[in-house]
Amino acid sequence: MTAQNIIAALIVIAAVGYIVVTVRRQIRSSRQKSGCGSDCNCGK
Amino acid sequence: MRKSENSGRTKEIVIALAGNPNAGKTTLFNALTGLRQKVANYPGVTVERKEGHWAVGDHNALLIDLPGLYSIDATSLDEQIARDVVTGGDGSAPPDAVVAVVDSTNLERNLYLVTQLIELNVPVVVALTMIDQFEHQKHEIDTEKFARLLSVPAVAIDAKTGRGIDRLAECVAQAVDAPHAVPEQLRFSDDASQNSRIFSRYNFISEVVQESVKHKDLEAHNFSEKVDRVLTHRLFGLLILVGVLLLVFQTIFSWANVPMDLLEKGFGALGDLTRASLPEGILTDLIVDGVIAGVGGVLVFLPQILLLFLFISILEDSGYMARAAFLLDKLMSRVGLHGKAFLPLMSSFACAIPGIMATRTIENPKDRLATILIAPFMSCSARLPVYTLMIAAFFTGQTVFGFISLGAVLMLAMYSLGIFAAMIVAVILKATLLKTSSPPPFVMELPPYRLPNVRNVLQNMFLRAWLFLKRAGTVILAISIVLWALMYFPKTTPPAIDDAPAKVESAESYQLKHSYAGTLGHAIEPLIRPLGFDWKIGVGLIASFAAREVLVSTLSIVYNAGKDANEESPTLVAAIRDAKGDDGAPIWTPLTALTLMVFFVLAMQCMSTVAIVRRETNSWAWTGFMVLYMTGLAYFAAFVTYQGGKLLGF
Repeated sequence: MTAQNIIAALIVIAAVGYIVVTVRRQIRSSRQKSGCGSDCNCGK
Repeated sequence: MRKSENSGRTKEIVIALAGNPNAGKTTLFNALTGLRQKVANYPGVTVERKEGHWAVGDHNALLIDLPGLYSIDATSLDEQIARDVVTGGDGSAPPDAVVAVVDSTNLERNLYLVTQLIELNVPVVVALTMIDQFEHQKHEIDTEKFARLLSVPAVAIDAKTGRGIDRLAECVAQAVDAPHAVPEQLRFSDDASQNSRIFSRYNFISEVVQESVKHKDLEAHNFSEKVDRVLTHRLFGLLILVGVLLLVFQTIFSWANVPMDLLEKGFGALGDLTRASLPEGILTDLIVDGVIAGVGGVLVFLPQILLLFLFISILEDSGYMARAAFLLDKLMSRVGLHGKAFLPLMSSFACAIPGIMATRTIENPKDRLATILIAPFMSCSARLPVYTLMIAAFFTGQTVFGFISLGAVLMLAMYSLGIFAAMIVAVILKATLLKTSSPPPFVMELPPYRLPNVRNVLQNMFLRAWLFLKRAGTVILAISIVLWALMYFPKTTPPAIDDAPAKVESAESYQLKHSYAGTLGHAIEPLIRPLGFDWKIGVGLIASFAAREVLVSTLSIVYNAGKDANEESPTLVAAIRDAKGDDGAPIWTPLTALTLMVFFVLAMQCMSTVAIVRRETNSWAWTGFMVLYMTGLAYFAAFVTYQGGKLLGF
C-alpha cells in the first residue's frame, strides 16, 4: 500500500467520522427539550 | 389601599411601573429611585423584579418595576405576573397607582397597554418617555388634551435631563388620592367578545392620538401615508411585491453571471493544476474529483447568495419588508394561521432553523405546531444553488414578454410554490389535526421608510455568506469525500470485447456505474424513473437528504468522475446539458430540470431541520409526519409535473 493510499484512506475515515459525530450531536440535541426564553409560551 | 402611617407625616404607598419592552422603563426607574434598587423574584417564579424607593409628595413610595409587556391579556407568564400585581391577583393588595411608561415615538402600540390599565380602574399616570426623539421627528403633543381624552394625568418626561420628573411625582400623589373615571369607549359589557374589545381599544387610541398629536412636517408624513396606501393595497401592493421580487431575481442572475463563471473556471483550472502537479493515484483523484469538484461545485454559487442577502437586507432596512409582511399577513389569517407566524415563516426564507425557533413566541401550541410543520416549505438559501444550476443549464437567454428573463420568472414561481404549498397544508392542518378557534387579530407596526444603513446591510450579507462558506467547508466537504469514495470503489474495469462494438463504454463511466453509489442509484431508479430521473440524479437525491446543496456537489462529482479522459465538458452546466443515457438520448431536458426544482421546493431534505423540529415539538411522531408528508407531496408534485409536461408535449 502506497503512502497516497494510506493518506486517502485516512481522509475518507475522517470524513465518515465527522459525519457520524455531527449526526450523533444533532440527535442528542434533538432529544433535549426546547430551551425556552422569557418570550416563550410553548408550555414546556 | 396599602397605606400606613410611617413617621407621623409620611405614608408608605406602592407604585407599579408598567410599560412595553424598550419604552424607557429602566431609565425612568433609575431616575426616580436614584439607582437605589434591589432585585428580587416574583413569588413562585424566576422572573426578576426590581424595587426601589421614591419620594412622592408626602408619601414614601415603594416603586415596583413590572416585566416589559405589550398587553395584560395574561397569555404569557410575564403578562400573567403583571396582571396579578396590578389587580392584586397574586394575594397581595393592588398598588396604589400605576405609572404607565409610554414611548412617545410609538404611541399607538404603547397606548394599548394603557387602555387595559385604565379599564382595571386602578389610578394610572402616563409618563411619556423619549420625548426628545419624538420632538426631533417633528411631532408635537398637547399633553393636557392627551390627558383629558385618556381621563388620566400625563407627563412628558426626559429622564436624561430630569424634565418632567417632579411633575410626575405631583401627578402620582394626586392620582393616589383622587382616582380617575373610565372613558365611555373603554367600558365593556361582560359578554363583549375579545375581538370587539381589541377593536374598541384601538379606535379609542386612534382618536386620542389624532386629537392630541400634530405632525410639524406634514408633507413627509403625508408622503409616507400616500406611499403606504399604494404599497399595502390588496391588489396594487401584491403586484408591486411581485415586480420587486422579479427585479431582485433578474438582477441576481445578470450580476452573478460573470463572477460565477470566473469561479467555475477558477475551480476547473485549480483541478487541472492539482492533477498536473501531483503524481497519479487515489489521493490525487480524491482531491480533484472529490474535494475540488464537490466543494467547488457549491462554492461557485457564493455570488448569488451574497446578492440575494444584499437585496433582502436592503428591503428589510428600508421598511419595505414590513409592508410585504402586512400584505401576506392577510393571506395567512385567511388560512387560519396566527399573525405571529409571519416572522418565523419570513426567517425561514434564509434558513428554516431560526424560523422554527422563532415560533416560540406563538402562544397556542396548535398554532405553533402548524407553523413549524409548514416553515420548511419556504425556499431557504440552500435551495438557491439547485434552482440556479437548473436555470443556468436550461432556461438562460429566454425571456417572457420580451424583457423579463425566464430564469427570474421560474425563480419567483419556485418561491411562490413553496408559499402556496404551505398555505394549502396550513388550511388542511387547521381544519383537521390542529383545529383551534379563530386566531386573535395581530397588530403590525409599519416602521417609517428610511435609507438602508450600509453597515447593517453589509453585516447581514457577510454573515449569511460566512454561514454558507462554513457549511461548504465542513458538512459538504465531508459528504463530498464520502460520496467520492462510494463512486470510486469497488475498483472495476470494463470487460474486454474482441470484436469492435458500435459503442464502447469508457472505463470511467463503467467504474461509476458499478461503484457502491452507482449500485445504490440503480436500486432506486425504478422509483424515480416516473419523475424523469436516472440513477445519477438518484445518487444526488439520496445524498441531498442530508443537505439540499449536496445535490450540486454530488452531480459535480458524478459528472467529473464519470467524464471520459478526452471528453470536453468544462463546466457542470455544460456536463448536465451534454449528459446522455445508454440509449444515446439526453438524460436532462428542460422538463426534467423543472421537475427536479419542484421536488426540491417541497421535499424535506435537511438533517439539521429534522433535528430542530424534533427538539421544538418534543415528538418523533410529528417530526416523522413532517418528513413523510413533505417528501410524499414532493414526489406527487414532481410526478404530476413530469408526466403532465410529457402529455403536453414538452
